[in-house]
Formats: sequence, C-alpha cells, structure tokens
Amino acid sequence: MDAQHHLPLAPRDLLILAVLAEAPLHGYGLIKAVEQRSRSGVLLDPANLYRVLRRMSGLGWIQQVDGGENSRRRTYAIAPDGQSVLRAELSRLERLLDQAKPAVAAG
Amino acid sequence: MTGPRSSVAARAYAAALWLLPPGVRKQDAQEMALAFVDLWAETTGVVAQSRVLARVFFALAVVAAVEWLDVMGVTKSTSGGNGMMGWGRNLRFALRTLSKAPAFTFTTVLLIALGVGAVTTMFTLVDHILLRPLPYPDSDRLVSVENGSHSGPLFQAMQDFNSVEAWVGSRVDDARLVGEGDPLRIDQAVVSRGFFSLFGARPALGRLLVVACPQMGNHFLCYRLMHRRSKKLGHSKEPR
Repeated sequence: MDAQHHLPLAPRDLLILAVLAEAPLHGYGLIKAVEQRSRSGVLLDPANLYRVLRRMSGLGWIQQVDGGENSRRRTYAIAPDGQSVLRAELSRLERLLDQAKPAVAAG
Repeated sequence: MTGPRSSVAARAYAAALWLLPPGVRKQDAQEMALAFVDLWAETTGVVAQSRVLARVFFALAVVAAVEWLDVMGVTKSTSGGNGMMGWGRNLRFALRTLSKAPAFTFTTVLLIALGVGAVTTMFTLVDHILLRPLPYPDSDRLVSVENGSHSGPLFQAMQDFNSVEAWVGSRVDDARLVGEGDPLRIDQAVVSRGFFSLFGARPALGRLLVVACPQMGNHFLCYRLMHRRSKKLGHSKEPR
C-alpha cells in the first residue's frame, strides 16, 4: 500500500488513527478520546464516526479486535497499514512545520 | 440526566437509524445506538443536551443521505480511494460543506421555503384573478361597467346600443335572513331580468326569474347559504 497516496489526512481521520495507535477502543471511547485530544476542535457523532470506521476498515487501516471484558461493544485497533499512513502523515506535517516555523520566528 | 428522558432520546435515535440503507444498518446500527446511549448518558444540562441532540440527529440525516447516494452508485466514498464520479463528488462535497454550517443551511432552507411559498401564493392569486377566464360561457364577451348608479331611463337607453348584445343590471347591499334560528346577515343583490341566463346559470332548485310574474320579487339563495339553512326555500327576507 502506498501511504503517500492517501495524504493529506482529514484532521478527524488523523486523530482517530492517533488515538487508536495508543490503545484499542470502542465507538464511544473513540468519540470521547478524539474530543478530549482536540479540545472540542473535532466533534464526532456516532453516524459520522462509524462511517469513517467503515471506510478505514475497507482500506485495511483498522481492524476489529476482541474487546475483552467490554465485549458487548465492537472494539477497533489500528492495523499495520494504518500505522504506516499515520507515520507518513505525521512526518509530512513535521516537514511542513520545519519549513514554516522559521518564518514565524523571524517575524 | 433522568432515566425516562434518556430512554426516549435513545429510542428516538434508534428509530432514526432506520434512515440508513439496510446494509449499513445491519453492519453498524447497533453499535451506533450503543455509542449514542453512552454519549447521552454523559451529557448533562438542558443546553448541552439539546446541542448534542441537534448535532447528532443532523449528522445522522446527512450521513444517511450520503450513504443512500453510495448505495445508488452515485458516489463511491466508503469503498475507498478517489473513485468518485463528477457530479456525485460535487453533491457529496456540497452536503459535507452544508453540514459543517448548520445555521447557514437552516437559514438558507428557510428562506428558500419562504420564497417559494410567497411566489406560489402570488401566482395562485394572479392566476385566479387575472389569467384564468371567468367561469361563464363566452366569458371573453362579458364586460362590466361600474359607474356608481345608472338611472332607470339610462339603463333603458343602454338596451338600444347596437354593439352590445344584452345588458343586465344589479345592485348589491346587505340584508337579514330571518326565520328559523338567529337572523343571518347576508349580501343581497337586486338584479334585472335576464341576469342569470346571461351568465349561463341554472338554479339547483326552483325556477329562474319568470316574465309572467315580474312583480313577485323572486328570491334566490346561493348554494352554500342554502345548505347553512336547513329548510331550502320559503324563508322570508327583509331588506334592511
């Protein structure tokens, strides 16, 4: 899979992948984690969240895993392809920041 | 957060999930309902709750519309990548942009609705008053002359105008219909002979003005008024 092909990621997609990279979560856990992470910059709702999750599953970025004690809900974890897309996007953003920051520092 | 209230919201959300196409519903509806229950349980305060409700239901409506477009093959957004076709892609972009500005969308839709309503009303009025022919035979040959009052001799003289086939006159004023029940205030018109036949009108009951009894003072009730009064004819009518 060519990760570059999918860049840039929408902020919402990036946050979902970043949150899942730390730990597997179920739907509401994701909504809450993304909301806290973005300090209400990105608000998720069930309909949009599961639409994104369906797309990411289809692309092989995430996968369903056994939720353990909380097995009543479907739990998602990041897949290797998701990891590489996330890494590619983060390094793209870092390069971008490196290029832009001196302009602010100079001003 | 009260128990019954939460279950009402959750049930409403579960019901709204039926908007989604069957495939999506089977796959995710249960999970979405569970996520909503959790989200709702942690939302407190009327303001926050109404904000969540508005956001969540609005998003569901938009997502359902987009999913149906996917199912119908107009767009192909979940199957991955950039496989969207021309106008389907534009449509999806429009929906997404509108969903990001709900206040703007609401105002715009409201304004369009008001505009369409106003134009429809105007057209209906203009159509009935100006465009449509009057509901009488040969209505394009009818003219109305309103000039305060015409005297009897003038009216007689007008009968001799060659360019006009027939003249009829009428005078409109108020009257009271008495008899059974409360007196009823009605409009009445005193008309000259030939008035009804000029408009091609026929009575539902009884006879038209009859030449043999010109002094009888025949009375006609309009159909609606007749139905308001149980007895059909035979009421006395006094000029005011």
